[in-house]
Amino acid sequence: MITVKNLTKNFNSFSALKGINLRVKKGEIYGFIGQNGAGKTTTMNILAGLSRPTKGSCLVNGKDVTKIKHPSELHIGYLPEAPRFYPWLTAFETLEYLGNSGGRRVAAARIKELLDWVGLSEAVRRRVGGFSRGMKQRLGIAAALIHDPELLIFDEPASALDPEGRNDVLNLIKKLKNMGKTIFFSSHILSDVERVCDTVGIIIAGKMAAEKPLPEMLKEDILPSYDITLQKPIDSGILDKLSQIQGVSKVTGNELNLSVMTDAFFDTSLLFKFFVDNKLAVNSFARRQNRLEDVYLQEVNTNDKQS
Amino acid sequence: MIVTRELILMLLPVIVLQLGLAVYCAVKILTEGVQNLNRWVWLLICLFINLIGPITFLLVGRKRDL
Amino acid sequence: MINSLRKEIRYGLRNNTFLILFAVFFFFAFMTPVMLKILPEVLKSKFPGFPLQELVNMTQLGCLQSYMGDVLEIGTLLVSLALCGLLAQEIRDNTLVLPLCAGQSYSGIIAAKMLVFGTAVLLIPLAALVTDYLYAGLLFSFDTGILPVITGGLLQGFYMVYLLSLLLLFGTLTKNPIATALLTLAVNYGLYFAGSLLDIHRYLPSGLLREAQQLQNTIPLQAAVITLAIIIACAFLASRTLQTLEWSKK
Repeated sequence: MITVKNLTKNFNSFSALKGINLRVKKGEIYGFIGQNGAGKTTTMNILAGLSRPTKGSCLVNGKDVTKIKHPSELHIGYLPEAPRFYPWLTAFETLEYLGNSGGRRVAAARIKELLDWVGLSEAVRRRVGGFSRGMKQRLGIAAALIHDPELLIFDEPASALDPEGRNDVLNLIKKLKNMGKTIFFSSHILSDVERVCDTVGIIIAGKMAAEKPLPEMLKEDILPSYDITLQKPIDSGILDKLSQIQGVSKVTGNELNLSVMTDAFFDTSLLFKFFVDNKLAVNSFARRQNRLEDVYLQEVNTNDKQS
Repeated sequence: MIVTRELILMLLPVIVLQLGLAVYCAVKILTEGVQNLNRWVWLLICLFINLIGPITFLLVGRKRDL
Repeated sequence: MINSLRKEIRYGLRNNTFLILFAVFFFFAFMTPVMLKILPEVLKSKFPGFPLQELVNMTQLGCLQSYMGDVLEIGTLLVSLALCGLLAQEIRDNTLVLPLCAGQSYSGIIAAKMLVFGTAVLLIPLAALVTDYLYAGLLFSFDTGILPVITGGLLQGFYMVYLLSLLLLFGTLTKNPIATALLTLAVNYGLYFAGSLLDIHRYLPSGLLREAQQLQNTIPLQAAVITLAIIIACAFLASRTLQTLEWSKK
């Protein structure tokens, strides 16, 4: 639904995007991650037709963003990073105004239903000026959905919210996917992306560092490590012996909880043999799951080394 | 010499307009809150500066949160 | 279109824009007849034998002309300040992003503002001038016909519509309400000054105000056509500028 090729954007002498490539497939949730200032918002503004690229091509819903006369031609639902509403309109009036824009009509019942769906049924007749950040964010999602678009572009939909508000927004995003929508959203909170996304794209300093389905991204060959809990405390001498096993690169932890980092093709039976030999009872043994955060930090590190 | 009563009578529309504005602004100041200046300062401005006071408040003093 | 008009009307009502315009014009409409009525009494008591009749025209007509002078000097200032945020504030606050994404057209946004606030700045000065006419007639005597007053009021209102179009254009160019107001006022007073200096009021929007002040029930055709052309040009340029803006700032 979105195909971006070699997208470049310069602001005066500053180049915000240095040739971005990305692809969002129909029906998926695409998480676009990167630090503040990496170029996420710039990319999303271009995809929403609100800003023009300096170079490169951008197809959104089959339309070239450089060839449109008006943002609404893209038929997307766009939620800006901090959606700004008219504080003197009520939630209902806001959606009524937006919904009846561009020659379209939206029934009052549909507006009520939408407000109900995003959890604002109590605030239908209240002026937006008094809304909290989270309420505005939810109203923004309702506004993006008002014309029932297939493709949704959400810029940091959950980042500025408290944990509860973030949870609500992420659940809404999941529900939207189940309704068959395609969602492209940006975030700098990796756990959010990990919770809901199908595909992850990492942008670092205006360049795409990686773009992969989430499971593949998590299988990235980060060196395996194991978390071990023992039944009885051990002394540091045993810790030293442990780290001398062939293939173990590092051992950390205290006398009960250990973390063992190893080489890529480490044979874990060596560890168990060591425990048996030293008569150590083990309560739990688990390979640590790769977190998106680890993958991301590894990408940032490689990037730093390259530049 | 025009007597004071006559003068007040003549000024009645202006007084009504001015007073109406001042009361309207006072209600806004006390119920909705203010920005840029202290609420009591705004209240004094609206009550004691003719026309320009309330208008200044309505233009820049009203609380606006986006 | 009704949708956009309704939004602008709500803006005008809920942000007191209409109230401010109403208060400004009616304040002067009620004030000038009283001032003219008590001025001679005050002067007589302080400076006996002051040749007042030669300086101030103390009639209904005099009141109307004095009121129109106030409108030119202070009315235009307050109208500019009251309406300077109409578009500039929206651009600065990014409140146009969602309406644009929802399908509001650039020209539609300008047209709705021109229609709603144009009507307001056309009708409110007209109503205020008629009020001034009635009140002055009450305090002095009715010695002028109502028709020239209505013509004069419409000319004045038309001048305010011209100010509105300048405010919208400068709003899109500067994206800053205060700068918009200052630029508009500079053009307003600047053109008036130039008109007087070079004696070319008949080719300038200020000719409308000059003619209105004469209360002769005449219409300055050249000035009116030129003003209309400027209004249309400003509205067109404003919507073109809006189209080329980048909405990328945070």
